[in-house]
Amino acid sequence: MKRRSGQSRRSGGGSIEADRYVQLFEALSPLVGSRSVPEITALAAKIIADLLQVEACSIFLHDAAGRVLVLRGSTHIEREKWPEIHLPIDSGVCGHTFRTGSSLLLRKAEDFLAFGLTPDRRYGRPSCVVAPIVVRGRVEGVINIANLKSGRTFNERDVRVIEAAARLIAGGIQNAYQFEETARVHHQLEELFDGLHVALLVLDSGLHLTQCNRRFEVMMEQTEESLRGRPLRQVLEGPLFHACRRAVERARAGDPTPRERLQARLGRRDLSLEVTASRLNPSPTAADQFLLTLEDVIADEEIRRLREADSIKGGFLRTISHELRTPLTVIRGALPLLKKCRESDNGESVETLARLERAVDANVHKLTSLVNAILGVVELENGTLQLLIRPVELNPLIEERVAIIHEQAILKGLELRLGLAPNLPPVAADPQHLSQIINELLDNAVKFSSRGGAIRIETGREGAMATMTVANRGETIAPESREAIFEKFYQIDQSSTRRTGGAGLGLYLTREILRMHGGAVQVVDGEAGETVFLMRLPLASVSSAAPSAVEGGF
Amino acid sequence: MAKKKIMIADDEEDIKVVMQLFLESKGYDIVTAFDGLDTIEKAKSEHPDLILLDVMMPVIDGFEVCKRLKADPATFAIPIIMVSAASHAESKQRGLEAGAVDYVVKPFEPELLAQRVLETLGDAQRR
Repeated sequence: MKRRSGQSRRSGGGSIEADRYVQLFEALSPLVGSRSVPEITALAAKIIADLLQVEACSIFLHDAAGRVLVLRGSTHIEREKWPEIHLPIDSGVCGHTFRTGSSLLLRKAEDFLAFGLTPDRRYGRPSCVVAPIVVRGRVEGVINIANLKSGRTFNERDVRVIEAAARLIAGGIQNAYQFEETARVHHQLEELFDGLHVALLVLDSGLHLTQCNRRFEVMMEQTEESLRGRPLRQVLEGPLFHACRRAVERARAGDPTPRERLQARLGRRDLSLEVTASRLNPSPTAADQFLLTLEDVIADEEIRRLREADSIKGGFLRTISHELRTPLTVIRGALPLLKKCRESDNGESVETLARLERAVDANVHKLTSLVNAILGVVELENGTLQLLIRPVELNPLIEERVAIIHEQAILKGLELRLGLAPNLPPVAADPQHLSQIINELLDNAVKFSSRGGAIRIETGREGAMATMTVANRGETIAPESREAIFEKFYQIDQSSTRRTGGAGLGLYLTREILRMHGGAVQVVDGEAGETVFLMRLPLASVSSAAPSAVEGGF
Repeated sequence: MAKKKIMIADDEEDIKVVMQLFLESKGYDIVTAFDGLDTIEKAKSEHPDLILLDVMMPVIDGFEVCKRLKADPATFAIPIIMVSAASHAESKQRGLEAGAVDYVVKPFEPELLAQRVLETLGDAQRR
């Protein structure tokens, strides 16, 4: 491993006692059993800083697209701000370690300069150590400790300690990923197994039932428990049992198994069933097991589609329920307080009033956007979405939405930079829907921006089309996800970064409505680290000055 | 008598603000937490008399937080009321199994919440 070191210099304080190392590893070891990566990184940073008595410790992991490092553990920044703090990977100290997988030791200001960083003059003797966190052979992130003001200068031994700590953290992360993956697959299989409109049975080689899915339970009106261990001959009636037996024999002999179709009674119903069996080989030493499928062929395609839609909707409904109820809770809770503020009359209540008004305002906005999105999708899918197209000036509409989102942007330290093309001819659009679309793109830009920095909004003209681009810096979109983000219900990272809210409908609706306008939207390349959305809309031609209705959807 | 201290654990800033102002006007001291981990840490350092715990939180969810607090001798006596947008029976069941004494569905009538808080604190005192 390459090490970068400045000139050797004796610093006051010496090195850390050996028992401090032992304490460190004892403190970090329990994290290895944690199932939550955010928990591991949050606690590790604190533990390391406390025990090693360094001024600051930070842990960064790369974002989904692998283009920036996101803060995941820090001792000197409040946790709520972490998701918004990003470091580039193509420059700087942490970026270097991330790209090369090599640790770094910086002992004085000059060492920082070599990375293009100028430590503040206030920092008397800046020193830091950065080590990579490597999971399954890939660098997932970095950990860094720093003494900036008065702490001791780090040395090679500190590098080794941090590298060892990084390995422990990596081990914990790997376990957590593994757990998440297993839980996810398990859940998917469960849903699949239970959601099918096909009855599934697992039989042992003596044709006893060992497992069955929900569908079979429902059809037989019995629970898996009561059926377990019973011979199949007892569970299914004559002809059906024999068809199953034949299927199992074919599977046992290794024949490519044709499906056998027959009319049979299953539970209380007479059905047209397709019977198939296949062999399950859990391990070479375990006894043979067979998977038997009984498929109700009449109900097939329709039910399949409904079930799929159902399970997507299940997750969707949960999210939507939360997203609708949360703003309502705020508004409902604010009302009695507003009344109280009105009645009392001191300086404190004026401030409180302002805060409450902001809260109600923001939440009404959220609710409105969400309701518009849901109803929009419903109308779209019912084919009843109607656009009233007329010539609309794009720039003023943008300025209007920018004014509305202004306050939210300021709270995040964001600057909204407008580059609106002068003399842009009007576009042919439904002003209300266009306004919602601009709102959606701006909202997303603010949500996914890192703290500080700017959002660029520009308009222009390309032949017979007007263009609008919204560019922001922050969490990036992986190239392979550029299309997927426009799909219905698509949401980034369901689990721990749910802070972004929404129901996965906004971009879907945006794209469909733009299509109906004869326009389009896509993610395009911007400067490094930028996410850029490009929207195109046809310009209103002189002859189409009269409003026209476009009905669409599907 | 000393004011009772209530901890509000929710990742939505606006909800915390509104709940805090409301409960403070009812005479309680308030301390807040913004995710699962923060809730556990602050429960230990602040010793609240009651925790209003949101279910959907990042890092560790409400059910897990509840279980951990109940498993820790330092915090197991603190009554927990779960607050959630999920209204179905399984969620309520889960909450109660995790050790919560009550489960309130969002959006709730603020006065109703205040009533439940009062009852729960009263119960805790009588024990």
